[in-house]
Amino acid sequence: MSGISIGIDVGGTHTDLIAIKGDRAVRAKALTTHDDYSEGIFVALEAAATEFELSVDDLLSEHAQTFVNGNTIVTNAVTELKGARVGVLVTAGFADIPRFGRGNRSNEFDDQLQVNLPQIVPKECIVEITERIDRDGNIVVPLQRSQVEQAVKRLIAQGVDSIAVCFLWCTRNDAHEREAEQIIRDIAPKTFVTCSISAASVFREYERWMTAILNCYIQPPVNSFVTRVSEGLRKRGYTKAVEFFNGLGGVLGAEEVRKLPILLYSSGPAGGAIGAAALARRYGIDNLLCGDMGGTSFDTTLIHHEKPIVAQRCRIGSFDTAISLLDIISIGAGGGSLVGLDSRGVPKIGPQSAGSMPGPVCYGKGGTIPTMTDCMVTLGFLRPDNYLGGKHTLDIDAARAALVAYVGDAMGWDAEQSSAGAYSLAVANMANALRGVSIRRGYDPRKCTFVAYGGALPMFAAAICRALNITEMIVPNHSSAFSAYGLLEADYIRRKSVTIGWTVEDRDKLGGMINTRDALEREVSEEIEHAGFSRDDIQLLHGADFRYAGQLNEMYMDLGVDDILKEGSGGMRENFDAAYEEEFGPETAWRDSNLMLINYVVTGIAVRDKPHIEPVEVHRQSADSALTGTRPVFLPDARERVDTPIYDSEKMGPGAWFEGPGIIEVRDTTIYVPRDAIVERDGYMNFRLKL
Amino acid sequence: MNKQAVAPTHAAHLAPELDPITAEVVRCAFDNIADEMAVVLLRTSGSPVLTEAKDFSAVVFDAVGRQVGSAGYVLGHLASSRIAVQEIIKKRMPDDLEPGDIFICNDPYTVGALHQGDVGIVMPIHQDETLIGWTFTNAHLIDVGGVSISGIAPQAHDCFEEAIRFPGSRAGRNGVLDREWIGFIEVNVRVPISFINDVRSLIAACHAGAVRMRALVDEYGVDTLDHYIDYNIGLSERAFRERIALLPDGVAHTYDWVEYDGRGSSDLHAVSCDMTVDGDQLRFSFTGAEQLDAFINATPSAVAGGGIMTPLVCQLAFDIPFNEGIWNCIEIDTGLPGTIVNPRVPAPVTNAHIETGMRLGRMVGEALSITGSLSETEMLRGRAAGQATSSGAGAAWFGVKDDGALAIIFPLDNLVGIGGGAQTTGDGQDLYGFQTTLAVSFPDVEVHELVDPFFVLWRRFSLNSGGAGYHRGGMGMDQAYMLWKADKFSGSLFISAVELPARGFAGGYPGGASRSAIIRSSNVLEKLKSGQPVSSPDKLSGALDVLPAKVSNVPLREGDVYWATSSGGGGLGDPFHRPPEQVDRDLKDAKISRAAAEELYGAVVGEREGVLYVDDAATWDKRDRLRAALVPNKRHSLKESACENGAAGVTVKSDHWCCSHCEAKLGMLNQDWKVCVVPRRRALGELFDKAETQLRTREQQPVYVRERFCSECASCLSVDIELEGSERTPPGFRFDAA
Repeated sequence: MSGISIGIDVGGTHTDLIAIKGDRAVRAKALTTHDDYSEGIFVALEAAATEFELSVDDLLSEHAQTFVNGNTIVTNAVTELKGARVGVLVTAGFADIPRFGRGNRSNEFDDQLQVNLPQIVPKECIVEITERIDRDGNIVVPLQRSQVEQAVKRLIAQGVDSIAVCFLWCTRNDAHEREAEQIIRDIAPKTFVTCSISAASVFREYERWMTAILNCYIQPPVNSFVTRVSEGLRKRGYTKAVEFFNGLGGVLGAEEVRKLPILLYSSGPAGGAIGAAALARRYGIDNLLCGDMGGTSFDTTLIHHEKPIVAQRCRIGSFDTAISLLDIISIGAGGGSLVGLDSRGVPKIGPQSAGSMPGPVCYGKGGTIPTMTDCMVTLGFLRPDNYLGGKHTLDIDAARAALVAYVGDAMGWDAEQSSAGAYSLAVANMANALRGVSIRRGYDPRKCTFVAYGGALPMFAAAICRALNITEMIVPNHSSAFSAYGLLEADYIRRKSVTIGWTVEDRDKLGGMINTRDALEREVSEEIEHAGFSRDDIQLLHGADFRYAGQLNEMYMDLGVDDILKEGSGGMRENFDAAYEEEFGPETAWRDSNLMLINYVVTGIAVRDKPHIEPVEVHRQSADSALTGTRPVFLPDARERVDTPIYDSEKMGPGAWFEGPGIIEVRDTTIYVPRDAIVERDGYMNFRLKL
Repeated sequence: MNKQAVAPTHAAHLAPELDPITAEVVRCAFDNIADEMAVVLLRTSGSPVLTEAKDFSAVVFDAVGRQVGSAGYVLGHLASSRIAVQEIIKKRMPDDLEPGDIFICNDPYTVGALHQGDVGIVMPIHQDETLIGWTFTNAHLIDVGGVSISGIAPQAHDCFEEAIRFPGSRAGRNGVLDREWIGFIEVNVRVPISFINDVRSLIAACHAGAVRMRALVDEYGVDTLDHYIDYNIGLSERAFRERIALLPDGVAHTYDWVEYDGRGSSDLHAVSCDMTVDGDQLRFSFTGAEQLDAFINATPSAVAGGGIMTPLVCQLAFDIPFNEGIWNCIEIDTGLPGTIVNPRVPAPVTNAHIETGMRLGRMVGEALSITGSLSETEMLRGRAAGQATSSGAGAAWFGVKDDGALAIIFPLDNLVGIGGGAQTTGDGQDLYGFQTTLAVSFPDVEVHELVDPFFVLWRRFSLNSGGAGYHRGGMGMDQAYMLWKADKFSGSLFISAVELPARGFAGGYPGGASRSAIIRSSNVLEKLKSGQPVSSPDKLSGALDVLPAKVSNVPLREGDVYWATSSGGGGLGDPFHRPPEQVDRDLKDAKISRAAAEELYGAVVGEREGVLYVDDAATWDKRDRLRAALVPNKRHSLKESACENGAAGVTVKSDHWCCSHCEAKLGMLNQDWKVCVVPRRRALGELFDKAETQLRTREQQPVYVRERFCSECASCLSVDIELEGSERTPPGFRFDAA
C-alpha cells in the first residue's frame, strides 16, 4: 500500500483535504472558491503536495490512487436558487403541481412566515401534454407525439437549458416518459433531459417530479464543476477514477454524476457520518452518535451496527423529493449562530447566522451581532492571538462589548456570564437534537458513544454528553478534516427502488413480485459493474417499504433475498409486526389489517479499497510533558474563571492522559475536557474521553 | 421593525432566584415532549386526516391542568385540550383517579371537542403514585357513528343524531384499552378497525409523553420544575401583555353572517364581535343569532380556540412561546345561552369549528387588523392582513369499492387547498389551509388513485380566487375527479362560505368563494376511450349540477365528474396600487384572468404573439381616469399615492383620522371617518361576474360591497360587505373616552 488516497471536502467556507499514505496523514486547507470550486481544490492539492515534498503533478500522476470529492454545490444552488432555466412536460391537467406542491403551510404560528414555494420553473416553461396512464399501468389516453414535438420546439425557442418529463403513473408504465424523452433527444440532442422515472421510480408524483426538475435545475453548475475537476486532474497526470460522494454516503463516478447530479446533495455531512461508521467498525461500537458543528448548523446522526440510518423522501431546500439520504438532523446552532434575546427577553441562539460574511464580531469584518464564536473567545476557549494556528487574530474586546449590548445589559450579566448562558443553551439545543436521532428511534443515548468532530464541536461535546448521561466520547485525530477523511471510507453504493403495492397476503401475485425483485437486482448489479467492479465484488442488500392496508406512510425494513417467499413464522409479516412495535411501542401493530409492500429496494455495495490504518503501540503515561501552561478560562459548568491547564496535542503521544479540567489545543481545533473527565490519546491517535 | 417600541420584558427581573437559561431548557423540553408525542401519533396512524391534514394535536399539562407544552397543528385544540383536562380534573380528582387511566373525550358540550369527529385521549402522568401532569392527544377520526359519515352531519337536527359522544369516559385502566369499550365502539362506528387503531395511536402517544415527563421530574424534582413552569407561564404572559398594551385602548367592532342552505332556502345568521383593548387585557364579546337545528352552532372550543386563539397566535402573539400565560390575558363573553355562539344541548355542532367558529376567527382577525393598523408601533401596523378564507369545498364519500370493501373517503385537497390572507409582507399564501391548521398538506394524485376508487382529471389553481389588493390574497385549488372502477358513492358536502367570502382589509377586496358541482352523465368515459384529453371543464359535456353548500346523500355515479373549486384569501390594500408588473405576472401565471385584471386591478391588457400582457403606462392612466370619475378633484396620481406598505388605509395622526396614502384629514377621532370619504356601493355578484370570480349570488338580500375612497387621493381605503336591508354598523374602531 504505497499509494496516496486523497479526500477533499468542499464546504461553505473552507475546502478541506486529507491525504493518507500508509500511516501518514496530511491535512491541507484552502478557502472555498465559489466562482469556480475547482480552484480551491487545486490550491489545497498544492499545499498537500508540498507536505509530501512532491510537485502536484508528481503527486497526482505517480502517487495518487484514489480521489474522492464531497461538495456543497447542489446545496448552494438550491439555497441560492441559482440554476438552469428548466422546461417541464407534464400530464395535462396538472401543470400547477410543480408550482404548488402539496400545500405550503409550515408549523410556525406566524402568518407572515407562510409564503409560497420558490418558483424555480416559470409557468410559461411548463407545458401540458395530452397523455394519461392509470394506477394499473394501462394507457388511458395515448401520448400525443405531435404535441410533444411542438412543446419541445417551443421550450427550446424559449431558451431552456434542460427539460424534465413528468407524467403520472410512469412508475407503473414508463412508455410515455421514455417516448417523450426520445422525441426531445431527436429534436434537441444537446438539451439535458431527465424523466421522472429515471430520477426516482417511486409513486407520489410531486416528490418524483420535483426530483427530476431539481436534477435539471442544478445540472449546469455540477456539470461544469465535474468537467473542471476531471480535466484539471487529467492535465496534471491523474489517470485513476475521479469519484464523487453522494448524500447516501457512497461514491459515484463522473458519468453518473452528470446524469443524476442531484445525488450529490448533502454529501458534506454524509462524509463525517461515514467516517464515524468507520470508527464504529474499528472499535466495535454498536451504537454511536456523531456530530459536527459548522458555521451555521450542527449536524448529527446515529450509527447503528456500523451503518448510518437512511432517511427516505428527503426535503431539499423547500422542496419535497424522493431522494434518500443519510438521516442527518440539522439545527441552527453553529459557530456563526447569532446570540440575542427573544420576545420575552430570554437569551436565544440562532436560527439566524452571521455566516462567513459579516461573520462573528471578533473577526472584525463588520459583524455587530454576537455569535457563538464570540462567546467562545470571550470565555477564553479560543486564543485571540492564535486562532486557526495563528492565521487570524480575534478582536476579543469587540466580542465582549457586543455580548454585553445584546444580552448582558438586559439580563444584568457581564460578557462572561452572557457567554456562559449562550453556551448552555447551545449545549441544550444540541443535546435535544441528539435525543431526536436516538430516543425517537428507540435507542438509549446513554448506551451510545459520541463522536465529535470539526473544529468547534469538541469545545461543547463533553457538556452535551453530560446533558445526556453519555459516558464515552471520541474526538478523532484530524478532527477538523474528519468529513474529508470520511470520503475515503466510503463504498460504492447504488440504491434503487420500485413501487409495487403488493398485498403480502395475496400469494397469487408472488410471481410478479419475484420478477420485479430479480429485474431490480440485475439493474443494480449492471450499473455497478459498469463502474468497473466485478460481479463477485458486489454485495446486494434487499429491503422494502411496508405499510398496513389503510395507512398512508411506509416504514422501511431490511429483508433477506428470499424473504418475500416466506410465510408464517419468520416470515415478512411476523418480522414487520415486530419491527413496527419496536419502533412505535407494544401493541401498536395493526394485526387485523393486511400488510402491503409498497416499494422494493435493492442496495448494491461494492467495497472500495480503504486507507489501512493500524494502531501504534501505546505507552500509558501522564500528559504532563504536553502541558504548555495555564490560561484563565471561564468554565460554563463551573460558572467561574478558572486557571485551566492547556495541553499541546503535538506533544501528546499515544497513551498520554490527564484528568480535566483542561484544554487540548490542536492547530485548528480546541478540545475541552471538563472536571472529573479523563482523556487519553489511543493507538489510533484519537482522543478518548471518559465522562 | 421598531425595536425600541417592542423592547422585551426583562426575564432576569421576574424571579431573580431562578436561572433564565434553565427555564428555557425546561420550556424546550416540554415542547419537545409534545413533539415526540406528535411523531408517535403521525407515524402510527393510518388516517390521512392525521398524516396529511395534520388534524390532530398533542399537549402537555402540569398536575393542576395548566398548558406547558404543545405540538402545533390544530390551534383550535389549544382550547379543546385545556377544557378536556380541566374538566377531567374537576370531575375525577382527588378520589376517582388511578395511574394509567384512559379518558376518552369527544363531547363538545362537556369536554371541549371542536366537534364530535375530534376524539381526544386524556391520561394522567404519575411518578410513584404522585400526580405530576397530564397528556392530551386528539385526532379527527374518519367516522364516529351517527347519521352521517366522517363525523360531519349536514342534515342532522340535533346532536343525538350526529354521532356518539364521549364525555371523558374512562375507556381503560393501567394504560390498556378496556375490552368492553372496544366492543361498544365497534358496533357504533362504520370503520371500527381504523377507529380502534387510531385510538391506540393516541394512547401510545400519551405513553411516550409520560415517559419523558417522568424523566424531567427525575432530573429537576417536582418543586423545582413547578417553579420553572410558573416562571415560563409568567414570561409568556408578560410578553403578551406588553404586546397588547401597544394596541390603542378602545373597541374594535366587526360583524358577519353564518351561511346555512341545507334545508332548501339559503339563510344567513348574524354574528358580531367587539374586541376591547383595555390596557394589557383583551376582551372578546360575541353575539349571535338564535341557535339553529343544524350543524353550524359554535362549541366552546370553536369559540375560544378557533375563533380567538387562532388569529391571536398567527397575527399578534406569533413569536411568543405558547402556554397558559397567553390565556391569562384574554376574557370571553358569549352572552346568554341559546345562540349560535353559545348553544345549548341538543343543538347540533358537527361543523361548529368551520362554520360559526370560522366566522368568529375571521372577525377577530379583522379586529386585530383594525387595532394593529392604528397602533403607534410600526411592527403592529405591519400585522394587518386580509382574512384567511378558512373555508374549503369539503366533501366526504361513502360507498363500496370494486373489491367489495366499504370505503369512506375524506378528500383533503379542496379543504387544504384554500388561500391565506394577504399580508403586509406580500401576497397571501396559496393553499394555506384553515388558519387554525398548521403544517397541513394534501395527498398526491397518485396516493388518491392508489388508495381510493378515484381518477383525478385535473388539479390546478382556482382562477381569480385570491382577493384583489395591493397584496393579493392566497389562491385556492380547482380539482375534478370521478369514480374509477366503482359505482354509486354517496357524499356529504360542507362548504362554509359560498356567498360571503373572505374579506380584504385597507382597500383590499374579498377572495373568490368555494363551489361544488357535478357534471352529471358526462362524456368523460367516451372521451377517454377515444384518447381525448379530459383535463379541463371545457373539454367535457354533461349537465352541470351546482350543489348546495351543505347537503347529504349526494349520489356520484359512473360518468359523473365531481368538480370542486376552493376559495381564496382576502386582499390587502388598494388593488389600483398594485404594480402593473405584478398583475402581469399573475396573468401569465394563470392566477388571474384578463377580465379580473381589467375589472379589479384597472389593468390595460394587450396581446403580443398570442401572449397576454399588462401595459404599465396605460394601466396607471386607466386607473387615474376611473378614480377621477369618483373623486373629480383628486390631487395625486395613484402611482404617487401607492405606498410600499400595503397595510396602509386609515391611520391616526394626533387628534384626527387620516388617509395613510396622502395624509388627508378624515375627521376628528370622536367622529366616524367613514362619513368623510367618497363611498360607492356595488353588487358583489355583478362585480365578481364581470371579474370571472366565483360567488353564489343571493336572490333574497343580495350582497354588496361598500368601497370607500379618500376624498383627496382617491385611494380605496376600505371595502365593506353589506347585506341589502340589514343596517349594521360597518367594521371600525371606537376610541373609548375612558
